[in-house]
Amino acid sequence: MAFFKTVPNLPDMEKARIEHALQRLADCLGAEKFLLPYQSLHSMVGIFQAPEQIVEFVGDHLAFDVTDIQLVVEPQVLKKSGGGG
Amino acid sequence: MPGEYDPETRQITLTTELSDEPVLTTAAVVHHVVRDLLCQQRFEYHHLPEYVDLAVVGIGLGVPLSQINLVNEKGLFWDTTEWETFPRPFLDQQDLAYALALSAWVRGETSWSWLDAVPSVIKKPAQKSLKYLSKTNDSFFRPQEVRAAKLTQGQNAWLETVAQHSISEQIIGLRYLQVTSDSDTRQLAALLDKLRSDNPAVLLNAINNAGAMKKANAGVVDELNLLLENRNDQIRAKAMFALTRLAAVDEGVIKFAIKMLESHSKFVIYAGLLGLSSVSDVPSSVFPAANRAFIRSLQTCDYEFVGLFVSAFQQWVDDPEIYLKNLLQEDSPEYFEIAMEALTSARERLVELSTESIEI
Repeated sequence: MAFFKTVPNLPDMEKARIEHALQRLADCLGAEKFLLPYQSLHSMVGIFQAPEQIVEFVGDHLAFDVTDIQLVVEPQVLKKSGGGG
Repeated sequence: MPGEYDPETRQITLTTELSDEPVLTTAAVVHHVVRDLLCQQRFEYHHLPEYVDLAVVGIGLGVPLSQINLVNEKGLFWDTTEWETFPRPFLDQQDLAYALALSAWVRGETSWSWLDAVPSVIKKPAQKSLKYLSKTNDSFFRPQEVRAAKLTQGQNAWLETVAQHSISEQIIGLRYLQVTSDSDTRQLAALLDKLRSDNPAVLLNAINNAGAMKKANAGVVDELNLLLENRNDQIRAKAMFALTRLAAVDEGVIKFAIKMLESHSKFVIYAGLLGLSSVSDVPSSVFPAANRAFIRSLQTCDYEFVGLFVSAFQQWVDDPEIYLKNLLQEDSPEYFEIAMEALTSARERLVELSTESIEI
């Protein structure tokens, strides 16, 4: 007799929705992409000096040609609320 | 997600600096590059951020996402079967946790070393789901076993999917199973079986499937009638919608539709009203409940419902103007003007519809 029933962290409908969405993606991109080695935070954050390197890293990981992707950096300047004076 | 991606030019515009916001900027670059991949592969839903997030997690680049939370309020629609109509903004934490667990499970991952940096609010539910998946193998998504496109499989395969023990497989199978004719007994038998399921999620998808049938089947209509007595509001409402679509609103269904007008849930009232609006000749027992619900919608300024009720009255009574005047003049004369405006709009809509049908 099982005293502790294991359950997923999502309700049935939501669990199925996520699985369906992933299958839709796998049908488009190919199942093998969803078995690529998992990258840890330390292999992705803190080791790149420029965003272009991240683009190349993702391209290498996916074996996807990223040479035609253009990258522009336009940092948003936070507007300071107008104080008096 | 900060920044944006232009599919026409394949340009990513970042609005954060890597040096100032390393995690957020990394997550943003990954998100936009994966969106570009989806665009190049002509993925239909590449514009939906949640799909891009799921792709990021699925292909093994999702850990930075766990460090940022972009969804505080889900704003869920009452009908949980509507997966496409109301897409979510980004992956929320619980969905992200499950996607991470699935990603670990499909890779046969037993060590959690790559999840070390994941905060416990996501790591704990992910571990819970990984334990579940490892024990039950209960998932429709299995890229480690099925490499071919799965969603375009034939009806026989969907029949097998619906017959699986897995609730996910049953739910997704029901969304693809086509029950087209009375003679197709295997598909019909499968649908009837699922209309008797004790799982609400399976039931709701079975009801959707039943409502999509081109022709009503007596057995299906009987099961839908039984579901009108279900205690779950969503199931009752969906069963009413399905019966309305199948033009199967009879005297018995009308009794349940009248009760629905007294509900506190708007979607239940809507289901009841829709069912009643599908019949032109309603019994007199409909009017007391419809009148009360109509006046409630006037009192709460719910003009969408006011319009729907006025359209229904227009269908049920010979002279709706006199009917509404008599109804409102004693207790609620202040609402008469609003009711008349709604009636004018309803009449205009009717004229527009008839003009369109003539043009067609």
